[in-house]
Amino acid sequence: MTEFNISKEFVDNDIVIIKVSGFLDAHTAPKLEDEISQLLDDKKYKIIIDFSSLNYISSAGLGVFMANIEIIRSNGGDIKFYNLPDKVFEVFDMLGFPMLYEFYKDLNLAIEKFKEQSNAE
Amino acid sequence: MQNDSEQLSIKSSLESLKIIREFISEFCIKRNIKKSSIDKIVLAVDEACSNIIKHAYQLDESGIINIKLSLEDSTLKIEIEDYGQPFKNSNVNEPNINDYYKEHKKGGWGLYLIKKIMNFVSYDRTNDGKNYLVLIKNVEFE
Repeated sequence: MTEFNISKEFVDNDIVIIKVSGFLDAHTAPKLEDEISQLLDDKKYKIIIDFSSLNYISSAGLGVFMANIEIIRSNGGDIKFYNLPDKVFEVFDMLGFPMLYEFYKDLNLAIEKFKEQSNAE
Repeated sequence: MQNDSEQLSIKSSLESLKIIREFISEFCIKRNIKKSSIDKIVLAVDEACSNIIKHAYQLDESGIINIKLSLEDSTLKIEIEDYGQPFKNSNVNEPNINDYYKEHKKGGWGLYLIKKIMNFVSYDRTNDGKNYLVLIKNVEFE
């Protein structure tokens, strides 16, 4: 059953786009958590989450992004959010995430932002 | 005055969350409740049941969760019962996202979301050892 799925794609070998689809809840969140842990083990810290095909998120899903963000940023990376359906964004908004995270409607802008950051280092 | 209700009894497994969401969603759709409200009501019940499964039952899948939905005029009442551990923390202060950032926290937002979404929330531990949660939402119709 395709309750929740993850696929990933690398850009320039150091930026990774994780495409999530389906339902991200307390049951499926550990799958995403494992995926992100694996990226950190591989020292990939520039992460874009593509929400285009995500139907649903609960706070357990949001927790995955919060758990590792400080480690990711202290390694020069970030988690950026791309193309959230309105009802998914609303959950992030209710919990104040826009204060701490960048949300993009344009994937290229998110990628460019990572490249600018790399050039500035 | 019209009062109709439906009930679901389901095991305390994280896999049940999907069925619980569909149950809530179908009940509300059938009664023409506004789509934007349905998404939020579904989220509130998911958060409540996630907490019951994780904390009250501590991921023991042999427990039972009973959910009763009733609609009277524009008042949707959701009663949720379980036989797990009593709820400990009823801290519902607005979570400070910066504190979560510093402390690497990844949870604890459920009750806050429930309170933010619903118009009324009450919790009782009954004498026969049940957690009894009542959520009420004043709904609009399409």
